[in-house]
Amino acid sequence: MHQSILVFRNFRYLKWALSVAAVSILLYVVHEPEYGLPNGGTLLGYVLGTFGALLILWLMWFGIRKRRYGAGGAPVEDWLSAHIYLGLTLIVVATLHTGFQFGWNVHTLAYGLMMIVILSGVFGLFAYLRVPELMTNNRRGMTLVQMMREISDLDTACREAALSLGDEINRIVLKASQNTRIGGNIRRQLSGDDPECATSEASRAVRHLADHAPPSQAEGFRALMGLLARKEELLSRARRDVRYKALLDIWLFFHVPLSFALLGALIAHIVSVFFYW
Amino acid sequence: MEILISYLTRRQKGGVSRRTEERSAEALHFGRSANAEVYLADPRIRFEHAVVHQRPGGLFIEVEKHSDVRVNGQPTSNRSVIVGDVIGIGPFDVTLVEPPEGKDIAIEVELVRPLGDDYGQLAARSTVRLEDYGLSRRRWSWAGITGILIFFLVFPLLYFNQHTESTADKTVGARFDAVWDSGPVSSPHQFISDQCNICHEKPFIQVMDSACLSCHAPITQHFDLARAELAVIPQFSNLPATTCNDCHREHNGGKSLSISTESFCTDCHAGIEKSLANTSVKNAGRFDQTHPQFRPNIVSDPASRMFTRVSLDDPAALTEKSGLKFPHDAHLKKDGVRGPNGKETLQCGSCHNLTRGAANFDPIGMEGDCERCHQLVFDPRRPDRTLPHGQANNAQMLIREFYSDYGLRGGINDVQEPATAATRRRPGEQAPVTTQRQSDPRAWADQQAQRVADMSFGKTMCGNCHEVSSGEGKGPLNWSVVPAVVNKAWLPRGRFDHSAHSDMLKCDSCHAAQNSKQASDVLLPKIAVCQNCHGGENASNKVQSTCITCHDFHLPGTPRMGNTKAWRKHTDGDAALRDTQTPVAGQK
Repeated sequence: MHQSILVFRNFRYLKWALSVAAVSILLYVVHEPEYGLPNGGTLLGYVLGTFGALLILWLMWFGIRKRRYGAGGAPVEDWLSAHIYLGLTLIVVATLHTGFQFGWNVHTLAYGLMMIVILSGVFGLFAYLRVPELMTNNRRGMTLVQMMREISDLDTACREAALSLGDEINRIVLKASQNTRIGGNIRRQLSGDDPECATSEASRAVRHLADHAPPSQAEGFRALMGLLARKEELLSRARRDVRYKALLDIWLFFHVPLSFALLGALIAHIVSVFFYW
Repeated sequence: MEILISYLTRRQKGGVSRRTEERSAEALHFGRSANAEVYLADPRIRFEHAVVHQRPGGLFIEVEKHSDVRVNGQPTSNRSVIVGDVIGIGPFDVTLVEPPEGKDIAIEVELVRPLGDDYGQLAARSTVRLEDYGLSRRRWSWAGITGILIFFLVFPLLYFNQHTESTADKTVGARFDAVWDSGPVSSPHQFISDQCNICHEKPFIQVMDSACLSCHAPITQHFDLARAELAVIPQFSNLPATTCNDCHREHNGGKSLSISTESFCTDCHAGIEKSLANTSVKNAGRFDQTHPQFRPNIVSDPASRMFTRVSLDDPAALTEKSGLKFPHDAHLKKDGVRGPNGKETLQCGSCHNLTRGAANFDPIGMEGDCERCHQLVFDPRRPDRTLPHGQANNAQMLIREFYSDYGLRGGINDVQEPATAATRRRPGEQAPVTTQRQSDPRAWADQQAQRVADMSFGKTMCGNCHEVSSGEGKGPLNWSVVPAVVNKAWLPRGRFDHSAHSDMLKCDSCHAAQNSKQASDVLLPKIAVCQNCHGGENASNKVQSTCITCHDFHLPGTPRMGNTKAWRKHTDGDAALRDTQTPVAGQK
């Protein structure tokens, strides 16, 4: 039985995460900085900072662990559930580590990168919870390749249907089959739409020409318009499919590289803090 | 005309298949039209694309407007063609070949540019994966981590090396380690905030006391570490190992590095009476709750300048023996006092002068404060002659000399003045002074001097304000004045800024001078008066005041701060400074 990664093991890792956050907050409230304001350099600051840094390394290890299919220990579902909840806990731990002191420096850079990584992860989580269902519904049992094969078949059929019609129609239909594309640049993939879709243009143009066509060609036009409509429908589903796939993927292009940028900033942060101790 | 049409199809494995048709027509039409002699089923072919006629001069091709027709590769419109020409019609090549017997024209038609694989082309046009659009997690990850490490670790490290060579180097771009700045430094240190290594002398070593002491060399201890009896308090034994930055944490902004935390002091001072059996220091906690009553340092014996600490809660012992007699109430009478120019009403500020910016009042003195009204004129007939203040013996001598002079020279219009002296002499005539004649003026002068001295010292002048005593041998005229000791600071270990309070309060808000009849009154408000406005560290409805609002940690008169190696390095050869120990004046 499939179980959402959030509910996994009856929220075991949520409980862990809440405990860690609660303990951190409690310590922060109780702790009186020896001297001066709360900051990363107090006793509690070092404790939270060390814990946060180790947590970051552990969270990044997930990227390696999930590729080790035969690895022993906890199943990867446990890792993912813990990755999500403890990753969110990092917001609390790291924010308290800062003592709410921010500035234009490598320390706040590390914090900012960490927050972006976490937020991108939250986006990914919601994408993984919501998108697969939408994707399944949209595909109706077809794969993207199957949709594209059918679109190609429709192109051939459209051209054949147009042969008996006027030159203008043929030009339009040929253009539609030769210029229609699915996806494209990142924005286009994410939008799931193509405002310059050649097939939509062709469909509009053909409808327009059909109004002025002689009755003898009515049958030919009807057939062509039917084919184009079917192609348009398939195209919009294929583009939605691309959009869903892009939504499932796009956050990782931020989550992973920024995690490594964060690792760099973390190293610089720790070295600099102790270099200028 | 009779036409032979051959449709050629090339096979994938090589070879050509040929399908021939024979037609008989007026002209040879090419197009998608079902009526065309050569039906070309391709959307790139027009409905009626081109026509080949037979004319008297030979074959002639007529091209429909805008149709794509090439003859031997050259785009063309209407023209004649001959056998051997290759006519390109859209994606088809039509070759005119030698017609066989009985035929007027023979052509071979071949689709040379087919539309191709629709799916393949669609897939080639489409980009359906983000990775296919140049996104790469691996590449970006490498770029991210290396970029950050170069800009935020390597460059600042390189700069650190440069920086040690030239501390004054403030050029833009050379300050890459600014990105390491963990927060603004306190305002007193702002001026060195861009020269990290002034404080951070060695990499990976915490800021050392030597850096602090290079500027703050004279800073003193909280107590003398040599006082072994203090070692019973655990915090005391830690102090020798304590470094400056254990307490003074930089890069938190603000105006000061000083610790204002109450607990920093109260950890020891809340229970210090228990920790130190014989201490005179009282337990002290939160200001508005467990701070002890003020115990001013008052003069207990002016002659020996002895001071004693007495609690304001002990009125019996609270008598300042300054050697002065001074009724504040008499001076502050609402209907005024006699002044040199008639009646005037005195204010506190008439005598107590608070120089702007100074924390405490200027010391009160005869000169400048009292003498405007209390002039030391001892003979009303000579208001220009006054006694020197603060010199009792000298003053008595002056009195005697004054009257001796009159006794000899005369001129003061006194019925008892000696006759000899009163006798007028003609100009130029030497006064005939004889021992006999002298005895009278001397007796008169002595009698006058003693009378005036008794009056001045005993009642009208000195004794009016000072404790005086008379008796044989106490002075030239048997008078002496107890030297006055004016207390400069009742609470020498507490800081109080009158300037900061004068904006809000009047003098009598705290000091009950209006009703004070004696100079021995200690006109210091009790702690409750302060507590009306000042609360503890976290007071919500009062001015938040911690220990260092009034007290210092580094106390004057204690040895120099620091017992670490770094400190020793700084103070070696400076033993006199280190061993300085000046107790608070006269304090028990």
